[in-house]
Amino acid sequence: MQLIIDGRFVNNEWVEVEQIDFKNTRPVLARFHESIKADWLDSTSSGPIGLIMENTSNAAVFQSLFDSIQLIVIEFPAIMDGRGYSLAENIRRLGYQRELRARGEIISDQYHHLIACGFDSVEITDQIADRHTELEWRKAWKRFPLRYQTRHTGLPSILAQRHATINLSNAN
Amino acid sequence: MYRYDEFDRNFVEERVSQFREQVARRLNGALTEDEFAPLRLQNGLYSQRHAYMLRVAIPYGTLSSSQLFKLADVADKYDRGYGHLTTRQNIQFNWLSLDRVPDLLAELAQVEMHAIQTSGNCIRNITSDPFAGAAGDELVDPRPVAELLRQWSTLHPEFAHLPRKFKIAITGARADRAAIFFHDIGLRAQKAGNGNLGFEIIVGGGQGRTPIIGQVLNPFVPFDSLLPYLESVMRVYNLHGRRDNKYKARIKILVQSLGVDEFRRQVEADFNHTDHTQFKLATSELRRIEAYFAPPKYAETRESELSSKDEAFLRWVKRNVVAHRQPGYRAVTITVKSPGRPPGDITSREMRTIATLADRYSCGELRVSHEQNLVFAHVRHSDLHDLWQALSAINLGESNSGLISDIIACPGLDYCNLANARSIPLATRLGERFGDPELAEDIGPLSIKISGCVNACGHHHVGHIGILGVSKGDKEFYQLTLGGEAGNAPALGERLGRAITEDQVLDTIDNLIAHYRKIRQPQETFVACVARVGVAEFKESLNAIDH
Repeated sequence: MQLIIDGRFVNNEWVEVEQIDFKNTRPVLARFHESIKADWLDSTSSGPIGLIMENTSNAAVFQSLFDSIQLIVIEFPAIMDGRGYSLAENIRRLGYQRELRARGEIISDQYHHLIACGFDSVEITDQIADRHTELEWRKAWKRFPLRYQTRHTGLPSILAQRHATINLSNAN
Repeated sequence: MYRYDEFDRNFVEERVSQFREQVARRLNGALTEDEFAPLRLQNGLYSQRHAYMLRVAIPYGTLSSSQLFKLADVADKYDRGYGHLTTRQNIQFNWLSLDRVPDLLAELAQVEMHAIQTSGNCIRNITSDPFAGAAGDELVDPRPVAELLRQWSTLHPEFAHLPRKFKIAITGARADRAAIFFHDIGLRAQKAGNGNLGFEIIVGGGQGRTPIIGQVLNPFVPFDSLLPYLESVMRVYNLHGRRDNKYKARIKILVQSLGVDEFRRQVEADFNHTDHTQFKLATSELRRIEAYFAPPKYAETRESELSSKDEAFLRWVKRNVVAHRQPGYRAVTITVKSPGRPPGDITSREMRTIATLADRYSCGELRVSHEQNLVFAHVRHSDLHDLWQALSAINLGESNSGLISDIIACPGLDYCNLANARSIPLATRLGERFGDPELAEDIGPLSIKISGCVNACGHHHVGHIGILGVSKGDKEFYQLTLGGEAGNAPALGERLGRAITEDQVLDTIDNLIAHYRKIRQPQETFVACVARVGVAEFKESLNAIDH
């Protein structure tokens, strides 16, 4: 698997484990299930914890865990399965501010959509990475810096820039 | 009409350059066909039976003469000298090679056109009333809101991978000429008692293999809540629409399975969690866009009686010319349906002539209607005769708007991989059979709509006479429906009987028309007659072809 952050191929420090336990000191990633509770997470692990969510998950169900985890990984089972984009929006709306990662069947051409929906990182298979090289991800990272929608890019939308320009010219 | 600013221009140019790289990566193998297919579809490019087909967006059906000149050039340079007007107010080119499509798109960008989201599982081109801004029964001009929706939906990051395609139509008139009950979302703009703009929202309508008349989701959403409300509809659909079966993936199936009340509850729960401040510029943006849709400078307000007594001209005025809100002006439909012509096909030469005529007679602006015709929205009453003569000279002065030979047809088996049967040859033969203008005039308003398969691209469900292509073994057959209607009294056609051959379709329609002319009451249209007596009354028309 290959991790991508800010258009670069980087090492993945997170280790996926079956079970979260006391011995964790490294960042560990485990599959979410409903028996995982915040106080249990806080008392069980001394290292950072990440949770893997299916794209059919309900964001509200794990809202109580947001303060106890450092990473949420949303799975993308197929290129055309877009549920993860709306799940990301729901997670961000509920106030989660830490790392949000998309993992699975994702190609570089979708990167700008992911960034705009609030994802920080992407994890892809080596087979996809062979064809979607680091250069492609680098280029894709810069795609459509201006969008019509106000989203999570950190940049003002086209509407905001347009009306700022109009207001400026009116002021002059 | 709307003009791009530097932001719109840069955005479309960036999409062209992104697509150019995507094509190059497909050709060198970096993109597999499975990966490339959704990317090209979201840029309007289909792989069809013989070649690539590009569907170019004509936003809400509005086109300038300079854009039409460019489409003519594109037809000559990249295609076989013609284009095809679609039922969603777009234009298609059917004979393209993949490697040249980026250059074609770059040329379109020069005249502020693109093919973004004319296909794929995303929000498609917004369609509207072809008489917008001209019709006398209009409460609100829908085009500024349609443009705002075009921008909002363009590369919307959250809704680029929906369960299935998503079509939105908007009208602002009393008469529904945008088929809002047969779209995923239909919007009817209206004014509240205090004069504030708002929208009735219809959801879950559609045709295809499961035709459904849309239901009212909300009778009035104020303008400043429109975008967040639509986002909530899209989000509920994106998360919960079916993805296991493409035939059950449209929003209409979700609305049916949840029930409209539960669907509304989910939408409104989401809406109440939305941060509306992200849409706060919508009102100033609407004001900015509205300035582009100010009425043209009308030249005169008086009108005198038409001086010509030419019967063909008067027939054309009766059928193809409608009232305009501005005294002294009319809106004119140019039916692209002359006998022998595949419905909606238009040559580059015709495009250039029409563009020239639009400059001379219609403020340089024209519309594409969902009936696959063209509309000149602002024609001086005193110019009607000159315009009709100019159109007649290129065989486009037919007086058949809304009549039996004004047929809607999908591309059918001649072009489409999905079709069971050919549509265009049947449409052509029907056009010839009922081409006599006096006969057509006597029959009166009647829409024939032909789809080559259950996907219903030819809208057969809402044809007064609907024709559906079916296959039996390797043979092409057709099934007829009667009584469909897309406007203010939406109805789905009812099946007449068994599937029949192309020859039998012509004979059956002959019989249907003869029977209608026999039993109709004064001023009663075909579809009103069917509604009055029932489809069963017409079954003998089908049975009689065996005798």
